[in-house]
Amino acid sequence: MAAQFPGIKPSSRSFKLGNYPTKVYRAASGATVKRAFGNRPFGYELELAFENISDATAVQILDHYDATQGGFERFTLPAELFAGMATALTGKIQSPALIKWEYAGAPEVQSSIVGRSSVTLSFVGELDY
Amino acid sequence: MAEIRIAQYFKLITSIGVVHRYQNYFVGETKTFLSESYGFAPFRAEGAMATLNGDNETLQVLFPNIEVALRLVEQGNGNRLSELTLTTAWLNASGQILTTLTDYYIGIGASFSETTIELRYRSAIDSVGSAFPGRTLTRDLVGPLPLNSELYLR
Repeated sequence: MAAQFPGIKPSSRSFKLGNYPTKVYRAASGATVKRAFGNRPFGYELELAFENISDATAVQILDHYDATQGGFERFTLPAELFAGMATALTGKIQSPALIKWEYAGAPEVQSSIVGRSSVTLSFVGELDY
Repeated sequence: MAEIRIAQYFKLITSIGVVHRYQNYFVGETKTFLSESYGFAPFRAEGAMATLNGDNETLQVLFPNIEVALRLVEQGNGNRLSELTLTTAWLNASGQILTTLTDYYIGIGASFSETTIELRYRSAIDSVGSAFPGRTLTRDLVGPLPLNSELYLR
């Protein structure tokens, strides 16, 4: 069981839907045929920014990164990350069918003033059946 | 039709009679095909799926190196002499099967890498040799021996 991401409200969110597993064959004539290899999208992307949070809160995020072995273990995202968003839209992002999240890269931390930092995170949502 | 959806149904009977059934299209779902249940497994099949002359072509089925695939190999004596029925199914947009093509293979072994398990197969039936049934050229077959290279069987 992967560690739970801390319930912190982000400053900004950016989300990209997943792609369906398809390939396109293009003939010399330009005509195309598409083949689907599965019935579920994968590779969702979510970027979160936490501006000027306390260093202690930043440490919580970094601890979570370590607890999940930096992208190796997948996890679910808490509702606090989607505060202020309509429920229907939250459902599309927080928990798409069969999708769990993992770190797409290491967290980026920018120290701004004494005791305050900004953290940028990027997640990728992959099929977890 | 410019869109095709292809699922593969993998039914393996190991040399000791254990049956494994998987499909690779409906993620996380169990599908019924010919009254049998097929769970999801992320495998892919490579190699000759069908040939006109059945000349003992090889087929590789690749699984990720997960526990279920490992068990599949270990229970099956290293995939030796297992029986594989591999059905390729064309689906419509709602996931219903339109047409199928089924091939049969015999397991000849397996190999492991750090991320994948490769099961190797050969087609179940070898081709009949071109010299079968053996015939001997006699004067009765060809008549008077020709003066050129043209022979006619009668």
